[in-house]
Amino acid sequence: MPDNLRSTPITMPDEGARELVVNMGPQHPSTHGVLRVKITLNGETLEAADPDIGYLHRCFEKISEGLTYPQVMPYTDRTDYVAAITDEWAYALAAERLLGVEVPERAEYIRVIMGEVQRLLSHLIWFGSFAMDMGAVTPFLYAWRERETGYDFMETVTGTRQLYNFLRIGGVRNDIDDDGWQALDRFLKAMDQALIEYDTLFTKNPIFEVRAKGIGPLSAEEAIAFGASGPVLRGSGVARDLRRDEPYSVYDRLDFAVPVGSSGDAYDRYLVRMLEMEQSLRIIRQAIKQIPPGDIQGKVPKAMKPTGEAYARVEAPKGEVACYLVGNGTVNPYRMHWRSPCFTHLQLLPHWAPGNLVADMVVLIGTIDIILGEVDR
Amino acid sequence: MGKAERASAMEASIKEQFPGVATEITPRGELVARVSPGGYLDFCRYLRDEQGFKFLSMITAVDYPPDRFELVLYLDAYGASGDAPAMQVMDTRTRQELGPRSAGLTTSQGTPVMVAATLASIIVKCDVPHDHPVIPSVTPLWPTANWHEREVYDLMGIKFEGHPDLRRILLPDWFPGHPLRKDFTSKPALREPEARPWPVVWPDQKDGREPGE
Amino acid sequence: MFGIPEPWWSVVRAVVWALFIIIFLAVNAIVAVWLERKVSGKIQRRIGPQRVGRPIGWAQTIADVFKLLVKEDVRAEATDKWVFLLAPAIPFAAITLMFLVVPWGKNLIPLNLNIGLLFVVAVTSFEVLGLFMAGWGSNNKWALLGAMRTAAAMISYELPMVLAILAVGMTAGSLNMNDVVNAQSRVPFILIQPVAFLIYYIASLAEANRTPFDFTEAESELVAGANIEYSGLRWAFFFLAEYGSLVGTSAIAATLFLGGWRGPILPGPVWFLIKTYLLVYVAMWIRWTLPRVRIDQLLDFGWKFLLPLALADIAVTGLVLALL
Repeated sequence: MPDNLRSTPITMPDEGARELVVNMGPQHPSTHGVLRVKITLNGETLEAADPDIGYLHRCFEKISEGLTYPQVMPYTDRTDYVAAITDEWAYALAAERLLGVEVPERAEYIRVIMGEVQRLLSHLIWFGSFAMDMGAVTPFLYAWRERETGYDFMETVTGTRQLYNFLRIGGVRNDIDDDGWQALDRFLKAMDQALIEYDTLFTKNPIFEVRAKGIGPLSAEEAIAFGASGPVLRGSGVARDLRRDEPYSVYDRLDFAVPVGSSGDAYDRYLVRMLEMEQSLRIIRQAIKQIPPGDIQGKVPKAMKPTGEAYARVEAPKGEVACYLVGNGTVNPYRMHWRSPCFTHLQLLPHWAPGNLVADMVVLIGTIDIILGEVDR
Repeated sequence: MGKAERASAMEASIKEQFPGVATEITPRGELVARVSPGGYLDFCRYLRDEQGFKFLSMITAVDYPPDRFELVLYLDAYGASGDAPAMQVMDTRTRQELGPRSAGLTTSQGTPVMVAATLASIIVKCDVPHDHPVIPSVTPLWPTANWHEREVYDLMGIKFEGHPDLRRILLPDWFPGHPLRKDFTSKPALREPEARPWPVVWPDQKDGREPGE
Repeated sequence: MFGIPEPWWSVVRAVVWALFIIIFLAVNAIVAVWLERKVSGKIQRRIGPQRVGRPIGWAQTIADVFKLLVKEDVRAEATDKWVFLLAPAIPFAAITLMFLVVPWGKNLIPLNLNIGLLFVVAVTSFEVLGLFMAGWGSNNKWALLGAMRTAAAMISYELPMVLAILAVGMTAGSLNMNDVVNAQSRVPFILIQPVAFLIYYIASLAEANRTPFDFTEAESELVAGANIEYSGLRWAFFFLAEYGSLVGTSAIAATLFLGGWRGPILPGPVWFLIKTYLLVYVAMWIRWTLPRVRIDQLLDFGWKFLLPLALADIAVTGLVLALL
């Protein structure tokens, strides 16, 4: 292959060096997508890890400069494809702030319900993959069983199982009908049982505790300096949740607790996500009680030609997803930048790697809860 | 002190220290500061050390042809304050609610819980000229800037001086050009080999010629 | 016997036993793989194979074997040719030899060695060699990593296993497998030596590379470890050896601790198979429930916990035997 076609410089260790440079990915069962990590090993111990991303880069930001504001919505789904609603939400918030659109209450409650169901679905995938990476294949199958019930609900309401295009600038696409409420009820009941089962099967397993405790430690100051957000930040003992600290939608009327870890290792981040799932169930149940009748779509100008800038952040399951939108008075956004938490968190991998073993690499990648669609956009 | 008062107080102290920096406050209470490339690094250091902006959310750039890029940073200052939104904190190990978030809360393992409400947010903007797109890197100040700056370099072509590892991140190393610039378009029909911005090598050709040539 | 003169009778007997063991191992691989897929299916709330050989999918593995037979035998050019090609044969040979001293019934033992237990120990230890040859010969860093881990794990767990077998030998008063079974005429050794049974069973899971000790094929980390570069029938040999190792160590455990072929009403070989497959089933149950241990934790567990425990067990056994 000609030298100019090498995608990253390959550095070979010198003759007789004790280090082995191994390539993990881009096709690998545990990197959760097309991620390539160049690992330098000394025996079984990692000395350095250099992630190489960009395999799933689809030029999202450039493409959106050629689309109209409503047309960008389906693309936002495809960044974090397992938690599409929260990504749509970030974009919808940014566009609504630019355009000065008010979202009716019923639509806000529907957004909250869908968003929290997404949080559950995203954490279920994370849980299943995390367990499977450690060798316990069964929790993965169990998590997917619960996801099927969740998919039934999403399909009943939005029409598709995974990539929804459900939120609109100013509201949501359609209301939840009776079938939808029943499907939601089934999903909540299934999740109640499931969370107890996961605890018994996996959380309390001593092998899991030994594999996860002490791996990937992150102090509170380090976490903030590295731009961590979401469960990664909360696992390090920092009490911050964008649903409370940068309030959006109707979260200020809903009552929920925010789990915060103590030692910032993989075990704490695991517990933060498991407890977040329980809190999501609590939020959904309150929203179901509180939801008022009304419109589901606010008033939006016919020609969307806003000027100005907006930076909207939401608490996605992975962390802080933000959308920076610049409008210049035309129908297309002048610039759209997507701030992705997985991209920021992946920088922690080279920071954590030295000193750990190869078997910990999958735990480290799993504890960030990485989705390559979001990393590469 | 509420968010608006904090923002005004901050604006006042910035004007004192850095008279050349233009500031304004957005309707949402975020501060916007425009800095020149010369004063950029000092201003960022001041923000981090004196004003407590320890969280860097993103670094991005917007292309305003023909003469400038606008580098945009979004920073947050975290801390405890009287008007911090109420939050019930739960301990992961015991699964019990520890109580409302407040300074001095500790977990069951004895580690302190850091209260990280948003005290203030600031958008730092810096105009980088097109003909000399070089600006100091803030990676020594905020380690998270590392990859954000690499992405800006990759897609916009702004070079960051002092960056520990400035190389392309999303695109392959040999990619010609910086796609997010406004003059990079893929409009010409991609059938014309000259229009393609990347070299094409077919498996049975050894030197990049089109098959059949 | 049967009117055949002496030297020929031994030859005929040896050939018949050899064929029987090889066929048994082949059939066992088919049955064990099917059992594994069904057991894992039930544990994971799904059905497992159900179409090929309705309704329980018994012919699934046979179909898979046919597929593997017709696959291309790929060998990368840079591999160490003979090491790579011969590696699959060695674990299989080790397992086959292990079955030489396993008693199937009263006087139904292929080779009645006076040092049967010692023979078992000696023969299982060269399984490692085959896996290591696979890892080295593949000229692949991931395979090498997998092979090194496996070698470390298997060697570490041999010592507790040997000591557990020794404890049984001491209790039975002999190293002959027939004597061990006969010594369990009143009470199976699992009740007299429960600690030795646990040590032996755990160590045998490590030897057979089953979760929680399955680094050789830690799919999520090394993508199949030492077996990465193998395809088709050579790969099938590794799997034959893995399931053979599982049933072999279960068979030994059944003989040493559960009374072998002893049992009322049913004939000897049937009891033997029941006990063996019961232990195989438990091993599969464990595999689909527990996550994987990390290599350094595994070595810690083997050297710092199992080995002292096994030594203590021997000491106590010796003391009790001396006092009785």
